[in-house]
Amino acid sequence: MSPPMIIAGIVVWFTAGSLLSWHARKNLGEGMIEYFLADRKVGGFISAMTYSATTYSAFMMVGLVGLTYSSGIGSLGFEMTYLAATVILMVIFAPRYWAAGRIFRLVTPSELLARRYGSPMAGAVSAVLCLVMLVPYASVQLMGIGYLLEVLSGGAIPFTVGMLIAAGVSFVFSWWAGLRSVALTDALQAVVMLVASLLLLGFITLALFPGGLPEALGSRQDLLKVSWTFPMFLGLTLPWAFFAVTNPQVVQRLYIPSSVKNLRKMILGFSAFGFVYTVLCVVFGLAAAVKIPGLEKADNAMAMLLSSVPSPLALVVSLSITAAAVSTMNSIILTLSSMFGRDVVRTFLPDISERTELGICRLLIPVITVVCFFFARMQLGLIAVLSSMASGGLLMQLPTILGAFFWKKATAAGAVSSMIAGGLAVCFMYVQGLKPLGHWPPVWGILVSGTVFIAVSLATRPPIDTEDFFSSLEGYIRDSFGS
Amino acid sequence: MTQREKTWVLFSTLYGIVNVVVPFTLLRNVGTLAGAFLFWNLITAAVVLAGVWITSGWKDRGGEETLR
Repeated sequence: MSPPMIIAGIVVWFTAGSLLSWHARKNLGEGMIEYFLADRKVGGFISAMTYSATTYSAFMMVGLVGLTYSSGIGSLGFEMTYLAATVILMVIFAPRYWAAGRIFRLVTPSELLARRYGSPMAGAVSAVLCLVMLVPYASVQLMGIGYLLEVLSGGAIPFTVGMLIAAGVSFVFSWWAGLRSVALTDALQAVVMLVASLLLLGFITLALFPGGLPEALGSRQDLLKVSWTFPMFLGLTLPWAFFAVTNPQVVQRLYIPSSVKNLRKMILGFSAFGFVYTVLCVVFGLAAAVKIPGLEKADNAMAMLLSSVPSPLALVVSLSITAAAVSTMNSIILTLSSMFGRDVVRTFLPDISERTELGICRLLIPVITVVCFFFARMQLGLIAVLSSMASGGLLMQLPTILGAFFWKKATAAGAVSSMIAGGLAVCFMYVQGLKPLGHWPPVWGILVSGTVFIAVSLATRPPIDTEDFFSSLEGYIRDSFGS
Repeated sequence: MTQREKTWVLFSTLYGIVNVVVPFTLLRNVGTLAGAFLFWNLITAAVVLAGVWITSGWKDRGGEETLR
């Protein structure tokens, strides 16, 4: 693909996103809730699309395609389990987060923990854990775009320039009007992701496999057999299965729908998007395995598949991959900046005004973007470890989150100690490359975190207003949801 | 937790077991699209449809939208 064509595509995409951001800016009011949650007045379609675009990163069209290419249908089980688990968790947790956000005027997911456990430290520890785990994850998005543009342009757009473009776009989309611009650009990018994938499917079906992909797969039956071991399936699936409640960039979105109806639309819209997008990505992986077998690096499967399609289609699909990465990246940046201001800075400077707090948060948007850029630029082997550690590390919040909603005896000391103990256990095992009894670090980490949470909570006293928290939440849910 | 949510948790537990046991035992060596590929598609679709049903009981009081 020619570099001018790629640049032209990026300019069109960036211009469209910038126009949406400019439109969003016109309706921007004042305050933290306005900037980070669009005043909790987001419609169902935009909520569903921003949730989908935030959840599905470049991993889908690069990593999942590569995983299917190299290991077959097990990857469908992994990704579908993630989707089903997200739907299951959203049905239970979305009403609670949505209601708690309104009752307690919450901005961040960690703030809910601080409020429930009566301890700003519980919120601060959760926020720091998220910061540590999500910066490498966001950096990988930049690296993905850097590599993609470099490969597609035949080296004319160097890795660093590609990352600079992605970082710049992410910064503009998130800083301009906060969640208003992120949500609108996410919606645009989600539509691009889906349309591009459907076009690619159409081309593959009609042009690459005129006899049909099912017939072509007859020669690669190994791909359709479950070749994954159970420990591998569990180790990969467990952290991602709880993504919907442990990753702050998606949890924060549960605060934004304007009504119960729109909250439901968000859940169902995401379910439909996720189902179609997952099936498409797995089909691309299978198609690549049949068409271009023997690749040394499975992650190159999509790039190689794109080399067999007409340039305009390859450009649209490449832009959709870039859009997937940017929509994940800008949501992470926005959420982390709000968490740093609300859960860390406010813990130590409780008397600052909301205006100052928002100023600090907005200042953090370029800071976090630059940190991610330099982190990605180092291209350390460590980044791969840290990014795979991210979902496992964030999983260590799970006992604390479950306790917040469903266990009245849970305490702040239990929450803080379990997140620290679990986080350290997972980090240690990942860095050392340990898999005791063949099971991956998150499996052991959640056992450590859960045990510490229960033991310490039983040995300490719950906050005095625990009953108030539960009764106000249950009352609000009963009134709003009618159940 | 409401009765409907308890039913949902029970259904989810059942899903969690079947989702792993069937493909890793009965369908492990089935090398056609009618094997694990079809199974994981169908069972996930079942969860999504069950989600449609369980959230259909949510009341709606409306709310002002400023971002559509």
